[in-house]
Amino acid sequence: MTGQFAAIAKMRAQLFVNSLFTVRGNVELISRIFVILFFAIGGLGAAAGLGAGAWYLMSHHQEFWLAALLWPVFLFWQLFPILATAFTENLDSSNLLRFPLSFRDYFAIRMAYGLLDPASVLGSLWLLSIVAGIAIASPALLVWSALVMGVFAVSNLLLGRMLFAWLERWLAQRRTREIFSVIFFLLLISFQFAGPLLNRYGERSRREVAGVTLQLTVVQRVLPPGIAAWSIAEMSASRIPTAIAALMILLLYGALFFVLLRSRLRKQYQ
Amino acid sequence: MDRLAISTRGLTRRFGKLTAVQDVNLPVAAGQFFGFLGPNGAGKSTTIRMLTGLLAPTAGSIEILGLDLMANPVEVKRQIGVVPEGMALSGRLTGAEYLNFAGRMYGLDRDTAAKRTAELLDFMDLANQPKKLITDYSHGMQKKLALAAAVIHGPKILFLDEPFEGVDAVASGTLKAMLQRMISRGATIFLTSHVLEIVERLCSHVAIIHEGRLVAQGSIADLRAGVEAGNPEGNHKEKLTLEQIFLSIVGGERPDLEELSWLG
Repeated sequence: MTGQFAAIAKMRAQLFVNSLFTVRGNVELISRIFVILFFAIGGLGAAAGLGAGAWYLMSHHQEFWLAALLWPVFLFWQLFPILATAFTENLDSSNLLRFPLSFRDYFAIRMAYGLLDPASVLGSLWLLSIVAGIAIASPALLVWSALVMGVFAVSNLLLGRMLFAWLERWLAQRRTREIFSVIFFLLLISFQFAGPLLNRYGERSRREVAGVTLQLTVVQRVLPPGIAAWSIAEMSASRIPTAIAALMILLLYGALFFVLLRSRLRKQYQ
Repeated sequence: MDRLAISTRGLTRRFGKLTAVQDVNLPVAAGQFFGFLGPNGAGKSTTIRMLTGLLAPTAGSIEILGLDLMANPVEVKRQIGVVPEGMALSGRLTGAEYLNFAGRMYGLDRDTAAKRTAELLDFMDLANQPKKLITDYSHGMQKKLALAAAVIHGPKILFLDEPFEGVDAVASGTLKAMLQRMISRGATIFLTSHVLEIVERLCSHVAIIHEGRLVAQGSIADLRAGVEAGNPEGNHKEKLTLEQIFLSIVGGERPDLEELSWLG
């Protein structure tokens, strides 16, 4: 088993190194440097922003709004790996399943792949900086917020792996990857239209937007980012039983994602 | 009957409403060179994927070397080698890196994997361009590498899905030499191929699948005798080729060339 894990880790490293030393690799190397720089600057900037945001909300007793920081992390963690599938080397499960791997090892390998993807690395960094922001504003909440963010991170990881396992065969098709790369590109350029659109329609439809926001607020409360924020807010107000109950619900979400992921991988394995 | 290397009972696979393989009972004796034939879409690849543990059957059972595949997938996979139709190679590795990876995944220690990698690359005539990535290999080179990866652990059964498709005569000769060597050492080989001349030359026994059902199985001589017995009025002075036997069993008809008279 150790030999198999070592072989996969070595293979991944060789894939990366080889990709840098081909003719095509020279172009890839330059593009990778730009991508890594872009993500490093963007990721660290976002981490600083999220940390500062968490500190501000906790200092001004607006703990419930922590959800507004957790939702972008959640959406990035889930959507980025799928949208970026055109640019990344994906695991084809049938390449591994030819070999004598136990189900437990196969599951562990699939999880390890998830731990190493950029969304998980950046997502974890952002959650850490949110914990830091909370702890600076309210040191007594360090342990609880770290615990809640830890469970939230594991839930994100399991959900991301689960979605990927379900979409894997579909994403393996070149056409699908091309469609996702176009959507990704359109999403990137669509941000610049947000300002003009808000200027034009913002005033007129403020009441409608407020109505929709209210409905979304109700829905988000029962989803993982909302529940994580709720748990921290309750602990901050010393309502310990509710804070624990919220953490339990978050754990249940994690357990549900685990069961669904396991059932999907079990089906692939058989 | 001899000891069985492969045995299926009632093997069935459905994809929604489509039944790709239906009620296949297939015994393959140990040490046989076995050809699994069928027209396109007959269910050959689906059957191989089930026999190698890559696809679960909808119904039925599979025994490999006396082991229930569903109950002992790891033990079975240790004893078999597979060359799938798409070859499933990692294009951005070199041949040596890929063989080493396959050897380690099959449980070989580092030194043994490295030693066998060198020997296999040499045998397959792939050793002279060590830095070349698999993606830059020709189709024939990729087939040879896929076969090398499938045998690096010394499997008792080898499953090959279209191993000779798109392979030139030189590469084909190397592949055949490797397979004959395995047979002489007691391994069982189960292959699908559209190249019936090669199957006729290599295989002692064949099975024919058509529209998901097994329509014939046995030694080539038995199948020939069966076809001749079923058509007593035919001209049997010359021995029927496997292609003629195959067409006779699956009912293939040649298109009317009169319609293409403009071809000259």
